[in-house]
Amino acid sequence: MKSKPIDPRGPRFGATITSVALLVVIWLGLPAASTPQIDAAWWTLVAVTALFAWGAILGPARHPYGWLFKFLVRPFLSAPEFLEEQAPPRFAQAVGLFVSLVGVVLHLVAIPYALVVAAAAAFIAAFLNAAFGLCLGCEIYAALPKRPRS
Amino acid sequence: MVFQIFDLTWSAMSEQLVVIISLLVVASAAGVWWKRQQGRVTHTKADISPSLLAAGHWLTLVQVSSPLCSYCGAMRGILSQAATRHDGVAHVEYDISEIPEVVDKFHVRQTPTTFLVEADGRVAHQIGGATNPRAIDELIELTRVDVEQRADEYEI
Repeated sequence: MKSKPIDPRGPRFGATITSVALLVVIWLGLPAASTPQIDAAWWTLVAVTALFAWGAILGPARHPYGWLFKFLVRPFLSAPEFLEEQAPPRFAQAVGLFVSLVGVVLHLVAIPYALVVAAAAAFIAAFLNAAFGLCLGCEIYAALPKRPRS
Repeated sequence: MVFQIFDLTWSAMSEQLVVIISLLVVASAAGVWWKRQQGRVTHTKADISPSLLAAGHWLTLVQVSSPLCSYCGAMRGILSQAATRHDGVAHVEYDISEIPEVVDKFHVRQTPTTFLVEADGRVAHQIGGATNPRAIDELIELTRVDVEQRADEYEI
């Protein structure tokens, strides 16, 4: 079943909250980054990871940030210039999930700086999405190796 | 645990600030660079097979899209409306997987990518990323003038 399109500013609003949460992870995690432990920084990244998983599985329309946008932000905005499908932001959430999950797991097995590095990588993507409207799914072909000629 | 924040010495805090400010600077620079790539017009001296074009139009707007692309839907609207506004202009859309030879030849690495293609397959302009209706109008007009000037070089 095809899901209904969404206001593209919804995922950008969500990415703004995610960016701030990831900065909190970096702020809390940096002082003890060389000696990983189960601390507030790790739990914050676990929460961010869980929210990424939620967005990747259920999509941006059935996500807490989506509801916040719909009821708190959307009423104050004019109509969107265009709508977008839910698949691209879901894909971006899946990429975020992968990056933050790597940080969560590597931190658990006591890899120094894994937490802040993963949070920093996820922050850059979330910030680009929030501030500039970067669409990861549009640019992914730039990252792929050139197709071999047959 | 959260209260650790308040026990930090100034040097630890300044380290955090330096890291966070550096991240903001790097991400902003990347964002400005990405934004400038959007709608960038490039030119490659190569053709697109006329079989991919809309027959009976002097210009075809060939859009390359992908399933995970947010702006492809927006660009579809912009290009199909441009095709309606201008006489003899058509809009066709392909998935990036459908036309590998075009993707290779023109190094398409982002979607949407749009080609303004003349009836004989000659690519007048290539646009990387999304752009606005006015920019499309200007490029169509530029191509029209160019095509007319070339036609003026022959008697009939």
